[in-house]
Amino acid sequence: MANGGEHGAGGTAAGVAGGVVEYEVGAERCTGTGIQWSAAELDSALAGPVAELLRDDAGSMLVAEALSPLFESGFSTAGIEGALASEQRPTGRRIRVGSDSAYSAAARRIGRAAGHGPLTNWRVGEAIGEAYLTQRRGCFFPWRMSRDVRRPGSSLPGADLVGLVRMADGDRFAFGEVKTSAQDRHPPDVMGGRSGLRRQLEDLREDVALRDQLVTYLTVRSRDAGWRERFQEAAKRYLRDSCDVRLYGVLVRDVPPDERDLQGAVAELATGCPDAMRIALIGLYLPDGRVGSLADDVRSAVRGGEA
Amino acid sequence: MIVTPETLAALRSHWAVSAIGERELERAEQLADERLAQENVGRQIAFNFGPGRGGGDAARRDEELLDRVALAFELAAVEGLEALVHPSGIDQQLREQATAASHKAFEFRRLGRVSGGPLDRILFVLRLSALAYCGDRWPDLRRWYAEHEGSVKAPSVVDVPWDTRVLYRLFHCWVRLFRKRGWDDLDRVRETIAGLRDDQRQHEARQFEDGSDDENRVTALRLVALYHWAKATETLARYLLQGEGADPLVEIDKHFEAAIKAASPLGDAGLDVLLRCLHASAHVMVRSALWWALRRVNSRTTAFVRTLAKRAQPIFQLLPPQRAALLEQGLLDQAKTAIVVDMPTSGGKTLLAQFRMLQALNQFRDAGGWVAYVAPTRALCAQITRRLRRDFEPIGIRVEQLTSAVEVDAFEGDLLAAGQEAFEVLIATPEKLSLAIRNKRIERPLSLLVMDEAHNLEAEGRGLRIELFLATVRRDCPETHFLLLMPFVEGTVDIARWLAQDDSAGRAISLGTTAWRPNERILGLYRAAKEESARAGWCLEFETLTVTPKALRLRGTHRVDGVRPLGVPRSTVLQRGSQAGLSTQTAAMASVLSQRGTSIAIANRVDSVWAMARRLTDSMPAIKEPGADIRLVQDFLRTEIADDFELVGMLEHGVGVHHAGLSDETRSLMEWLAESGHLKVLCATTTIAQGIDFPVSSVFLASRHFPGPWGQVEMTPREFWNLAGRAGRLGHDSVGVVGLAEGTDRAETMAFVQKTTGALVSRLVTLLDELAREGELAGLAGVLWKDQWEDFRCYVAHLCAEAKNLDAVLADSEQLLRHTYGYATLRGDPARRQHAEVLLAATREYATACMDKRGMAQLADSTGFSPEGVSRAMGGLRELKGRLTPDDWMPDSLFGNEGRISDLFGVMLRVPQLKRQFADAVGASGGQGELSGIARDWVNGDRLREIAVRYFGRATDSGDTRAITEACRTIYRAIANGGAWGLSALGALAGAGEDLDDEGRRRLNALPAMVYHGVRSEEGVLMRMNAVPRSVAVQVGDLYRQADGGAGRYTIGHARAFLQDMDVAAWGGVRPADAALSGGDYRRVWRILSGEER
Repeated sequence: MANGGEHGAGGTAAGVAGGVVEYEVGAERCTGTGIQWSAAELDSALAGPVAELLRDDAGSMLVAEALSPLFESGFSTAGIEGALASEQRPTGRRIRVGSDSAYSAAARRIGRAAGHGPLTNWRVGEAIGEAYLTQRRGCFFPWRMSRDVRRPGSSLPGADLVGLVRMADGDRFAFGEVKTSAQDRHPPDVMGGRSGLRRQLEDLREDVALRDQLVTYLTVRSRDAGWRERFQEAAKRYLRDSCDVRLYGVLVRDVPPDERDLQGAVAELATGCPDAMRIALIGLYLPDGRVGSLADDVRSAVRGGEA
Repeated sequence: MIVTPETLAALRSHWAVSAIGERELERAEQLADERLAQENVGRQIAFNFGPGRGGGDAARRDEELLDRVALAFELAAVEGLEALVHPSGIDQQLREQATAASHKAFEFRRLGRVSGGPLDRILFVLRLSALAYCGDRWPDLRRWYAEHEGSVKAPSVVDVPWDTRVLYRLFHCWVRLFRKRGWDDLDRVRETIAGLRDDQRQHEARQFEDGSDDENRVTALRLVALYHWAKATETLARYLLQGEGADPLVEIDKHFEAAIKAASPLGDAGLDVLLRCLHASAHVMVRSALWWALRRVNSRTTAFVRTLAKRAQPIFQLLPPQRAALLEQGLLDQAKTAIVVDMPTSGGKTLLAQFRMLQALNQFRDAGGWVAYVAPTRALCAQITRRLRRDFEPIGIRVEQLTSAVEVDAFEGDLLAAGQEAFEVLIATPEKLSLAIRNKRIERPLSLLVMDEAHNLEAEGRGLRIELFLATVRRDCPETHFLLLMPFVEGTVDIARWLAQDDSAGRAISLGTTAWRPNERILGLYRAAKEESARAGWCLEFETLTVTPKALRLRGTHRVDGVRPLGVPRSTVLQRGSQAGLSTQTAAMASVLSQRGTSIAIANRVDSVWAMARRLTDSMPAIKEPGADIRLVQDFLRTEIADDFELVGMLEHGVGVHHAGLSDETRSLMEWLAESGHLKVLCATTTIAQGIDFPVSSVFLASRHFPGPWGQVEMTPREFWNLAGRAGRLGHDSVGVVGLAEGTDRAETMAFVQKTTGALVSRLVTLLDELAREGELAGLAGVLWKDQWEDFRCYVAHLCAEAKNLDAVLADSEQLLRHTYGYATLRGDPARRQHAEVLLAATREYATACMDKRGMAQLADSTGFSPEGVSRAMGGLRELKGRLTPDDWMPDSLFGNEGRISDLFGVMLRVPQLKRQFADAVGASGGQGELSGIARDWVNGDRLREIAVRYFGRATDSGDTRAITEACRTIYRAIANGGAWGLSALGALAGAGEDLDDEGRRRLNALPAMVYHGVRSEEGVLMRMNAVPRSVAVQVGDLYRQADGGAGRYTIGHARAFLQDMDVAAWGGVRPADAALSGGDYRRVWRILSGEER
């Protein structure tokens, strides 16, 4: 067993633990690492960086600003207001963790952006993945993006996490996907299928146009940002070789570590992986049964902190 | 903000672009050019760009490189989008970056294939379109749309969710906004958005019913973004259509910004970037709109813009150089009294001139001011007249044209003397207007002088005349403002300052070197090469040239489609290994490339042009169903020239001819057919460079030389590029092809293409430089008597005629010389100061001689002859046997069998200016007897063919073409110009009108016009001036006289009104029994030639 994380030396750093490496599969271009977190390590992450990531006041302001002049557009606003207000009341539906629901990710984003949406377990799972990559793998994600590609005609492709990763020889673009599952199967369903983790990473590996689009989006956002220089370094690298990027897939689970979770995906993603590209899959194993209570745990951790 | 070579160069050091590496970048640019050439001309030319081009890995690597380079430019563009949206901000550099980078990104992105599902397609098309707008390449985008019709078609909205339906509808709207094919395109946008509002209740509710709360929240936010986008779209469309609202951008900004805010939490990268790109495009669109550029000008301009937006081919927005001239470079700055616009060919300079004209008319309205539009050739004058009438008459501005006859005829005299109601805009050649101004024919103030193709200032034949004309206007009309239009001239600021007479009042608007082009251009040399696969086989090779930035950078020698083109044997084009039959090669190139659209094949001699046309007619199949337009022109030629005129049969094959051996009307109709795409190939002489004002697909030149007044002269590079600029039709061809026959002087041809256009040089400077080179500068006073200096002598004579006495001339001579550009240049150049001194001394010497015979100078001024010409003419008149009586000058007598027209031509031949004009004709027909005979038959209404056979027919001729050509040349170049001018001048010198009453004087004054127009009645003249075909001009004139009821108060405008009211039956009533044209045909021909057909 070893401590996990490229940049961390194990233990907890600013609330995110390196955990214990339970298994490693693959090599060089595509690797899979299984990391076990203890309850204390999870609680520390939830109370610190994860809770921080889930706070977003700026987003809710944006929505309010977009809504206020809508009546001037000549379109009726009643239906829109009704749909947006629905997030204020419980949906009455049990949220299926790791669901393939096409709207799930975007809905989470809006819920968070609106500032008053329901905090769900999978939103917390995504924040855990982001916090881990940020603090343990040297990644930097200026903001999170939600993807909604699987429902034809509804939106355009993207990635959960779009940002930069600092390597020894400089910055590169980092694109990440996060899946959370409480299922007791190896691999869980969220790894396969049309909107599974493996397919999403394959898209990012193969689809240059998709990566170009994300880079263009970052360009817009990088103007006047503190991370502009890092961005430019990564972009220059990308312009010389559009495969010179890092892809991350994080699977958040609450079952005992099992290398079968990542083995198949690692093998498939390694085949045809371009020379300059590296793909890292990370299985983040939380203590048993914790995925189902992640949202409540964050709330309590925040309340505890405030107290 | 227009893209310049400087902003493009600065872009190379942008972090994203430089990341690609200079070598890779250059390779990508070359690849892009090759792709463009291949896609557009690949069917006609088998391009071979050398090693390293092919399939497999190499192709994949190329593809990947092009994508990376496109992205690099796109990132640079996206980085500056904000600066485009907020143009009042200080970040000029970022704006320039965004514009230049969009320009380049479009260059690469347009080569990409549109793939994927409907969403990918929508995203690609809209992003590409936004790049085109932000990078000032919307004309290229229009072509891309035309070439990719399937890609710009909106996906079906059947069975798609409401938010997707809104997106598809918005795509549909933006394709129309970008395309702006017509009024309907923009009107439909408003309809579509209104339709979405109607559909919202039903469809939106259904989507929300079907979705979970999570889904609905996403949908709702996306719809917020889409509805805002829709509102901004509607505002934009309404503004473009009607110019409503003081600042549409406030509303557009509000809704785009709200849309972007709504899209942001969705994390939809594609939608987010798209909205930002479209927001920037909307800004560019508004700022390029005619409404916007002219929002603060007078009501007449607004009325004009309204008519532009409403016509069949509406204009809603300015071309990038037009926008730059108006918004960035102060074309309408009233403090500037002289503006020189250097603009690329097809950059739309006439429209700019129109705006400045409207401004001037408005500014000087109370004083009865008028505007002169000066164009170098009859053909261009006619084209401009048609256009200005079409555009200005609906807003109540009277436009008149003076004929190109040198003298001012009676009707024109009346026109010029009339008040403001007669005309506000007058179109003329420089020579004609010069005479009118020198003789103070128009009392009203000349507000603005527009000179088109003003680079003729340096032309060998007439440059000096034009420069001195401008000097005369400067001197005689000090209040006049100037607008000079020219292509490819550097350093125009000196000319502007000279004309303005004040450094701060002159402005040079230089857009000739911007990156904007109406389309891309392929330039190459073509030659014949052996082809062994067929007996006597040969083929054409096209070597693309990379020596100039004005053309695509393509390397290699490429095979042109077809073996033994035109069915011609190898011996015609290759003789002992040397290139031969260059006009045949040229015709062959034009024939192959005519598959893409009209080609022009140019030779330097009229007989070569006919030979090319014959070869093409023999080898090209007849058009399956020639349209009504071709038929109309054929019938016109049958009626006006001869039933079996060779050109009639050529038109059957889509082959047209254009040279000086055809009438003005015929050439106008050839241009009309070429412009409307009815001709496959138009064969022309090099002189078409002066007259062509319409785009074609390709241009091929057998020679770069053309006949000048003193022998064959090489085209200037400026003339060549002006002509080459016509290759490629704005909105139709992405690529125009220009070729030169390699011939036997390859090195010289290559060097010619590489020559830079440079600054304009006054002919005065050139003439003095030549003298200095020959060591004869000191002897200028002796040389001044030579032909080249005739125009200068006329100018000095004019100054003398106006002066009180010799002392006044001598005292003011330097000031008077300073009115010329040449003298001003010489004085300002220390190396040429001595030239100026010599010129001044010679001028004083000549003026002194002139003042000795001041009466002669005054006669010279009124006739347009030089003082020496006046002297010779008077001598000739004195020596005539038998004094000319007033009766001798009456038309019936003069053109009758016993008339003295022959005597008068004898006198004319003694005047150097006329003698030169007659030189060709005299050579052909033998002298004054023939010339006067032709003039008499011409005035008496004989058909062209009859005159041709009578005076030019040879037993050896296989047909009448040669004779008809000779007859046309003699009539239109010698008789109509020199003959009419000579008659007018001799009449004045002989005092022919002195003993006549008003009626007699009027008839006398009509004489020259009768010779010019080839009719023998005053009413016929009036009809010819209004573009009535000669075969019915006299008869229509008779109708006019009857309609006038004998009041005899004829004016050009009154006659035009009469013609406008003349119905088909009336036209049918006057048609000759044997005419191929019906009454309806006559009416249509008249409408086309007069510019009535809009």
